[in-house]
Amino acid sequence: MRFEPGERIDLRIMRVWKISGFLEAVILGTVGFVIVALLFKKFNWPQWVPVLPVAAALLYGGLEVAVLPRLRWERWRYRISTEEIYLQRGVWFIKRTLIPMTRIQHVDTAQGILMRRYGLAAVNVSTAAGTHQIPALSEEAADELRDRIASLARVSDDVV
Amino acid sequence: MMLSKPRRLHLLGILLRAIKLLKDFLLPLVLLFVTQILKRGYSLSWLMFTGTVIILVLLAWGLISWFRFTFRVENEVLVVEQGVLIHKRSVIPRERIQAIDLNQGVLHRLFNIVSVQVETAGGDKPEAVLYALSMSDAQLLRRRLLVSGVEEDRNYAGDAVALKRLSLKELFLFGATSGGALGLVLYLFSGAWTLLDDIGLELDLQRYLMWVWDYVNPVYLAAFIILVLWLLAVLGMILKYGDFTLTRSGDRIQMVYGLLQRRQVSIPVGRIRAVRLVEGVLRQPLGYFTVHLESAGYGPRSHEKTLFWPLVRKNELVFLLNKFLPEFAAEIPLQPLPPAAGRRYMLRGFIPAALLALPIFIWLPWGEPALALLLPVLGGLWGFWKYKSAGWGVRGNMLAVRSRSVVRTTFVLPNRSAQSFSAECTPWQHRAGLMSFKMDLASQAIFGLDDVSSIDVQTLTNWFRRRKQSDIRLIED
Repeated sequence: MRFEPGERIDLRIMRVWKISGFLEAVILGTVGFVIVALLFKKFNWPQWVPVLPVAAALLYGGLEVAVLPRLRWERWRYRISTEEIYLQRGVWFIKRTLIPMTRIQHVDTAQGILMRRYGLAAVNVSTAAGTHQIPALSEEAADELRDRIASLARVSDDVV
Repeated sequence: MMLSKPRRLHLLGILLRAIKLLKDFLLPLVLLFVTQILKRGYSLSWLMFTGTVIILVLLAWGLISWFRFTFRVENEVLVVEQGVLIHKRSVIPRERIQAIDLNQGVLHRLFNIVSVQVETAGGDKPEAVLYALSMSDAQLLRRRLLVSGVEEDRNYAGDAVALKRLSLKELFLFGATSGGALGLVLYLFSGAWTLLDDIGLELDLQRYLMWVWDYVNPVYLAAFIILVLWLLAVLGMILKYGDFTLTRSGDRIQMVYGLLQRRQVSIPVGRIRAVRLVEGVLRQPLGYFTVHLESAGYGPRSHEKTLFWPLVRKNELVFLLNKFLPEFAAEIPLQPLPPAAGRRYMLRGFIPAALLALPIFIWLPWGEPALALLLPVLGGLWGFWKYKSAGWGVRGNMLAVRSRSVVRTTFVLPNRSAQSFSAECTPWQHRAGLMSFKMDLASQAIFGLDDVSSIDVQTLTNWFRRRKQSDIRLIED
């Protein structure tokens, strides 16, 4: 596993990650603020306490919008060979996974609302032990990859 | 006997169904009786009348559901129809059937009937349970449904058959050192306590305790209670796993055990993904292993079904595996983790414990503050213990990985068993030249090791990829 796999995921996924990161931060910030504000009234905490969840949400949102999508996209690589699927991902932890074709039970593509808006789809690869995901390819590429994996997986069909 | 026509279960099934129903509704029934007695006082005629009605209803329901339950084997397919209000029809093709397990409860044993569980690969529950069959019918059904050439059940005398029984001494040791025994002690303790609380015996209990305090040495008393509970737990384990018999005939492993409730579990060897060797904290010093199987058919919840052999000495382990599972018998020398990993393991135990100890140290000034400092030390030691226990080894296509949470666990598996292989490293690990790896099995087990040197992870990757000789070239590209 010394070498990075070559294929990258679709660049447009960064937009999706930014939007969903922003929404997450807003929701987290609001919920946190409401909870802390209620407790603040009840327990007579110092003035600066309700600011904490907002600051945390701002920090989180800032990271999720400005910094992490780029790094995440840079790191996300994959390679499909006739024998196996090789995935690499992670910003802080670098994680690399090998899935032999012979272990693959089924493949499918999936799209959320945001993904559909940008014409993206994810490819899910399931083994008997769990599912691995390639998070973002253009719709056509995802369909093509899904079919390719499916046919490769069928070719080498020995054990469960 | 014909199996192609729809057949009903053994007549005793009516009684069994009624008893099961009674068990399911025991609590509401008890509540009903208690509230009625509290409300109108104790009335024998009412009790007799209601009791009779309930028993009749249960028997009638048992009869109807027995009548509705039919099964047949038709063109290599088992068809089970059942259900009184909701009609259910299960169709299970023979190739899908992973195992056919026979269970005998106490009543079953009295009349020599069995409950037959048909297991398929998917799901946690058995696909179908035929809750009352005569022994001969059950054997016939097994012969018809299990893939041919595999099952030679009765043929214990044949050369290919290996057989082993658990000795009484080992059984007792198994019960005595089991975590289950300890668990039961704690459970009974807490259970008895809350029960007393619920009844409102608190005050009386206090007075009673004062009396005990005055007249009996509480240390002896506590020791006595623990001893009794522990003996009960040992008895429980002996009843559950007594008369453990392991056989192998052809491509099938079969475990039969239980003194009251008789269980029979059989697993095709082809389904076995890994052997898991477990050394409990109490058993490890005595040099004993418990051997479990990781099998694709049984989910993580049917934990006890994976017990392969309760207790075996270190030096007999290879012999046992050689005889019953030669596929997994390789002796694999383990190598420890690099020294650089030791410090990281200790930190990994130390830091959470220190974070926990800090508020205790600051905000709870009463008592001995040094006691809070003991916590991180223990955490660090635990980490070191884990580091010392960890190890891995490769031989041919077999891999062994050993790690510890509290008990020490060793996975032994061939490389075709792992579904995927992941390697992971943080920047800190990267600087130290270390990596973590992880594998998952079709039995939903996940295992791996932290802080293996990255060169060794490369070796493991190559081992995992080595399916055919021609594949090795892929590693270099």
